Amino acid sequence: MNKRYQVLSFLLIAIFISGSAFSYLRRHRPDDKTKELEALKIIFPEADNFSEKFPSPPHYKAYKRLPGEGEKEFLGAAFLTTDIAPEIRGYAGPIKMMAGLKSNGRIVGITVISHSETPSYVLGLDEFIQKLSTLDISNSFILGKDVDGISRATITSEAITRAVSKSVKTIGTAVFNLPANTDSQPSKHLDILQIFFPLLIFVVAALSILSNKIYLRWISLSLGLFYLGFFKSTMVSIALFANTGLGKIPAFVDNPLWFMLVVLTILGSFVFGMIYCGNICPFASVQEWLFKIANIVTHKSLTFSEENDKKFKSLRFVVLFSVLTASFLAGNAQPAAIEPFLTFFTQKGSTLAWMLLVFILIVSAFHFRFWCKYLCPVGALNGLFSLHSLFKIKLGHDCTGCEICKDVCPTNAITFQSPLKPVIDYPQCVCCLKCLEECPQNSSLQGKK
Amino acid sequence: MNKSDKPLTVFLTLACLLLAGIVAENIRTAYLAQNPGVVIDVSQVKATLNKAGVKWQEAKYWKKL
Repeated sequence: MNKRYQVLSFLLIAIFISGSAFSYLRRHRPDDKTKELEALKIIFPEADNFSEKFPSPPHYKAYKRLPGEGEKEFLGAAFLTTDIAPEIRGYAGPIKMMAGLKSNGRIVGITVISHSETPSYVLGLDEFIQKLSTLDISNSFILGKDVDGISRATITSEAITRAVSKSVKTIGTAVFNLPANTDSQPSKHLDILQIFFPLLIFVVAALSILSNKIYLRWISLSLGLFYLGFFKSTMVSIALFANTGLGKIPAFVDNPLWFMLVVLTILGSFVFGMIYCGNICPFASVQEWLFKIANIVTHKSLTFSEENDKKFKSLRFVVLFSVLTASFLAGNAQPAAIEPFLTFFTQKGSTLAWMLLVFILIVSAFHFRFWCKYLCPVGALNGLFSLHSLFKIKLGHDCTGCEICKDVCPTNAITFQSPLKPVIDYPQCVCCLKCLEECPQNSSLQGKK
Repeated sequence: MNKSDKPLTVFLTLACLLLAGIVAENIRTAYLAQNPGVVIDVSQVKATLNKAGVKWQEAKYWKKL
């Protein structure tokens, strides 16, 4: 293995282990009381006294002192949804909320104490919570009926609704003896399609590599674009890996697609190399289509010299390590939510995020996979995994030094160490198989020996 | 640097700057999510000042902030 990649792999492992340990220690330090107290004051701003937390079901009672001596008015009960419904998790882990309930069953307010959802996915969170706060115990809390969810954040909306519904009804019946509406947001059932489709896409992608069929590669790229991109708006992002390191993982039943993508991407990289980046990534597909179309229309493309290309390709490792470190230090994956595909497929993002997306799309039309090659942190991560892949493209057997493979490689991953010795930079190889297709000799994909 | 490298180098630099801006923005969001108290609600500041008898003025310095 190239020494440079050895150092980068070591750095990645060091950041991941120390970041995870730091995050674990931070999660388990006893500072949550302060945040709970702050949340209590937000829910019941007029209260001047709160009880200790009552057990079964866990809740606080809020009081307001009255002018008479020792007299106090009971304002309502406040409770953490994670205390009452700990099994309900959002897209990237638990969503800790404090809610308040009056003795007549009306919700006083709800405030989110902490969550790990990707910010660009939940921009409408405050508005959604505001709408939920207008409901009471007689409501069924069904999305689409009592309240509209956050668009393109179904899992988060459902998790919040179910957690609030269960908590409100539990507290309402146990503390205030109120009758609760028995209808509720149906519990999640395992969505088999979320297991089947990613598996199908990875199988097609693997077949395209094993059989060296370029049309299969386009099928897997198109499936990735339409299913993962347009239909599910769920891609492998670096925020997903940062959340994994932070221990913020959704429940399997809520989000099997999340698990399938993480497991298949890592496993796929160790078996076939950059299989996700090369044959599945929806944003890569968008960039490749743009490049193809622009090439047909304008016949123009922009390229770096070999020297600069090699130099700038290291940038994506800088991006990877920076956002992972920032996420671990911040204690959540928000700093890692930088990829333009989040904005593209969710249609949500800040002004800067939209600017970056438009910019990347324009440049990608004139340079093959501009984002993937120079800036994508997921590509950098998969690249490091792919160094150890089981199957690798092997060039050079009976090499005549024609350098066709080098010329056709769209990511400039092939260099010649000597006239007859082509070398593949595997973390740059997107398994497009053009080198194998064009090689006049018997170059092939081979298993590790 | 090769002349042909210039346009892409400029594009890459711009993309890096935008990316750095997004990272900074996200770090700020992450910080504010954990420390909501640092958000200044000007209407509350106004109300507090009024209560204390201090006359509120829309000074140019506030506008700058």
